[in-house]
Formats: sequence, C-alpha cells, structure tokens
Amino acid sequence: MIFLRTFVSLLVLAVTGAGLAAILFPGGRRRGLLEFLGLSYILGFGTVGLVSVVLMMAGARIGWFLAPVLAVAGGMALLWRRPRELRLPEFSPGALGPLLVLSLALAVGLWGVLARRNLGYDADAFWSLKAKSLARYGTFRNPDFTVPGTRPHMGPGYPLLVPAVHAWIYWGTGSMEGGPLRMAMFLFFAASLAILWSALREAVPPVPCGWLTAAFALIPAVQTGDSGGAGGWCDYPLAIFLLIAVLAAGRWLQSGAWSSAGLSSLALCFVSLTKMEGALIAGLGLILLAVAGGMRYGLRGAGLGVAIAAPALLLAVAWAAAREVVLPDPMRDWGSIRRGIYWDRLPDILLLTASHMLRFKEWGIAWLALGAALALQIRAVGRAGALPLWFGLGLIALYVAIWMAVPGESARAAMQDNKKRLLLQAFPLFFVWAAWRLPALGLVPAAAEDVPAGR
Amino acid sequence: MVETGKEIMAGRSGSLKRWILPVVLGILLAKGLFEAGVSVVGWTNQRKATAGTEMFLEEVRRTIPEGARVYLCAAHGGLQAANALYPRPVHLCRPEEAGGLRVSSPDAWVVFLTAPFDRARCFVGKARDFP
Repeated sequence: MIFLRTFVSLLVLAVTGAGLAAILFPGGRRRGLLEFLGLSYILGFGTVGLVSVVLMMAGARIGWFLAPVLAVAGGMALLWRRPRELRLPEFSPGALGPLLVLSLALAVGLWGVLARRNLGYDADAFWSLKAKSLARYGTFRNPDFTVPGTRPHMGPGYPLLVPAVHAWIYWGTGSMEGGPLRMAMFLFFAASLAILWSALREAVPPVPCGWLTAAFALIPAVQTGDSGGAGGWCDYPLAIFLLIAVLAAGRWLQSGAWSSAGLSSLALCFVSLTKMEGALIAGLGLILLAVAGGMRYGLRGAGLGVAIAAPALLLAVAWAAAREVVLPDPMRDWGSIRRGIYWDRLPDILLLTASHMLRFKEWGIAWLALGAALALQIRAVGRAGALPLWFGLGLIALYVAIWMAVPGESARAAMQDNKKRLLLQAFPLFFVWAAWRLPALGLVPAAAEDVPAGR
Repeated sequence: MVETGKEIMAGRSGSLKRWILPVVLGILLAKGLFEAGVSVVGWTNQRKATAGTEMFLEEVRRTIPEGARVYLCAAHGGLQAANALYPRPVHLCRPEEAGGLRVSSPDAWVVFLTAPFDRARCFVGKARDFP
C-alpha cells in the first residue's frame, strides 16, 4: 500500500509541474519529450515546496490538501496549453551502449534507494526532522523551531523548500519512513538526467550525448552515497534548480522568449529557498543576468536580467525576515564575521578544493577533464553559451569569499564540510559548458540538425 | 636525417598516446579499484552497524510512548537518532555526561547509544534503572 501511495504522491508532484512545464516549455523542439518529463517532475517538486514556504511565511498553515490542489491547477494548465511536438529521443544501434550504461547507473542508484531506510546522517540531522515537524504542525512557527531544547535539529533557520516537499510526501504516503523520500530523490535524479541529456543535445549528436549523460550519472560523487543525486542532501536539488535557471536564461538571451525568462526566474526562486547559500546565488544571478542581458539587448536587457533574478532575492529577504521567530542557528553566527578578508587563507582554500576535485573515488577524472577543456577553450569564455561557466565560476568565487571571511579556526572546518557541497553544486554547470565545447575541440561532431541552440 | 619540427611533434604525440596516457590512466584506474574495494568493505561493515542501530531504534520506538521526553546520550549520530524518535521530545547529551545526567524525574526515559554500535552496551529504560 505504501508503494502505491508513494507512486500517487510523486505523480501529484509531476502533474503539478507538467502544467507549469506546458506553459514555460519552449515548444517545437525536436528533443522535447525527455526534457518535458524531467522538467515536469522537478518543477512540481520545486513548486509544491515554494508555495508551501510562501504560505508559511505569510502565516498560513499548510496541509495535505495543498499538493492535490496544485496538481488540479497543473492538470488544467496542461489541458489549456498542450505541449506541441514532444518527440521521443532518436534511437540508433549506436545508442545501445550508452543506454545500457545509463540503465546500469540508474539501477545502482535504485539499489541504493531500496537498501536504506533513512536518508543518512546529514539529511536526517538537517532536513528530516524539519519535514516531520512541518507535517505535524503545518508551519515552522512551532516549538520544534522556536522553543530551545524541544527537538534537536541542525540549522533551524535553514530554508524549507525541500522539507516542505518531504512533508507532503509524509502526508501522501501516511508514513514518516525514509524510503518514500529516497524514492522521491531518486526520481529527482532520474529527471535531472533527462534535463541534462536535453541540454547537451543542443550541441552534441545523440550517441555522444548519451555517453556523456551516462558518464555524468556514473560519477560517484554525483550519484551515490547520502550526498549524491539519489541521496538526501539538498545540494543536488540546488545544483539542478540552478542548472535549469541558467539553461533557461541562456535560451532567453538567445531568443528573448518570455517563457524562458519565466522558467529561469521560477527556478532561481527554488534555488533561493533550498539552502542558505541560495540567497547569495540569487544575488549572483542578478549580477550575471543583468550583465549578460545588457550585452545582448542593451539597457532593456539588463533591466530584464534584473527582473528575472529579483523575485528570488525578494524571497530570500522575506525568508530572512520570517525566520526571525526561529531559534538562532549556532552554526551560522554571521554577526561574528570579521570586517575584513583573510587573504592569507586563499592558497590553502584553493589547494584543499583542488585536492578534493582530484579525489578519484569521488570524481574520477571529471574535474581534470573539465580543467583541460577550460584550458583549451579559454578563448570561448566570452562567447555566447558561456553562461553556465560564468555561473560555475561565480559559485566558486562566492564560496571562497565566504571561507575567507569566516572568523577564526572555523574556516578550515567549514571548508572541510562544504567543499564537497560546492563541487556538487557547481559541477553540472561546468559539465554542460565543457560538453558544449566538445565539437569545437574536434572530439565529437557538432549536432547538425535543425535543433535551435538554446544556449 | 634531420627531423622537421612537425615530425618531432608527431613523435612526441605518439609517445604520449602510446605510453604516458595509458600509464597515467592505468595508475588512476588501479588506485580507483583499490579505493572502491576499501569502500565496499567499509560500506558492508557500516551497513551491519546501521542495521543494528535501526533495529535498536525500532525497539526504542516500541518501548517509549509518543510524547514522552527522552534523554538521549549518543557519542555520534545523536541527531539522527533524535530524528528517528520523532515526535518524542529529545534532550541530547554526550555519553560522558550520562553519569551525571540530571533528569526531570526517576521515571524519565533514558536512551544510551554507543558508537560504534554495540547492542550489549546500549540502554533503553527509565532513569532509575540506568546503570
């Protein structure tokens, strides 16, 4: 019974997102179906979380009925704007290899999901209890968040998008076990691969595109463990929300389509309410989109770039105000950050991050390959299609800046814990950019179809 | 015979392909396989410990009624255990504090969780029975 309820709960998320995807999805593209399905689930996931958090910030209590109501709205939107030309990906005998490898990667992920009953230490310590508390009270204004010593959980002031979705899954399944949540995160991982495939397909032919997607799915740090795509950390969802935002912003830059601008804006809103650093990433988005928009469309484009990122920043500010009722977070004593920068830490920070990039059992040679692509294509960093690269570099710069401003000896501890998160958040952006540059490097032929490059 | 610059470059490129890349990739692969083996052994051991902890926490959930405050002493994984005991309110303490633990009454529930997990040394019961 719990499997059936889990299935129905996840379907509700997908239908919610399908309505949005039908409105915001750029139609008439050859590679439509996979991206549409992936987007549907991920947008549904994000939207249920976003609406829940906004309602809670406004003082309302959320309940089990919220996601079904959103799903009905999504279903109506789907009927109103039926997506056009949703085609299956091209299949050729050469695609069998990558398809098998991809299936293997998904099977390994699924095995990891079924073998565990909880989400792992970090996910349980940071997020699961929040989700249970939201499912119990319908709001974060409850003793678990506001009365010291009631029920311990890390970071009471952390944004609640993912716990709000998990709360809905608890309601939907009628169980507070970790299994359904793991299944939800596994589907998130699978959906993200569909989006990635579709993004790579803009520049790379189907078979190499399949191999690249399979390679991405097999990178241990991306896929396995508690921190990977099918795990319970919030870094992978953040990475994928950001990837969707950047890809859609790239499409907006190229075509000027409002639907792409809307999708980018919505995904950035998800980013800002997924983790604490989401607020800073929204700020980064505002700067980069204003610059990119200005370069492409002049002053009007810069204004539109600001408008795309502004809702995410506003949400971050609203969350900062709303969480004043919540217990202070002992892990984030922002007030004690020194008014200055510890420049002498920079070599240490870069060395630690680089050494983590080269950890073979986590990343294989992925970062090495990306570094080589960057070195060989350094002239392309200013060209169209470099937006993912700039977001990736900006993300690294943000983390490094924070680590250089954290007081005392806690900086090294923060790096130890967070360099893994940084790399996971930034990796899909670098990966997509590097894959798009492969035809220029002569390693794969260019995609020669009439697929409009959405970069 | 004098080699041209082009031929010299081609020769170097050939060595790169023939020797250097395979050797580097071979070392990386061997290192990866070794580490993967170590990880599998570690994961298997951890899995056994996790399964033991999960069974113990299931027992705790059956024993302690919902709503009763729990004094939870855990060296590691206390937050995870507190999450597993939801909705019971949990007061976390470190194992070394367990001897001098101040509880609200002798009838308060105490859970002692060892790390690594050892069922024989773990405890669930009333404060008055805590050894």
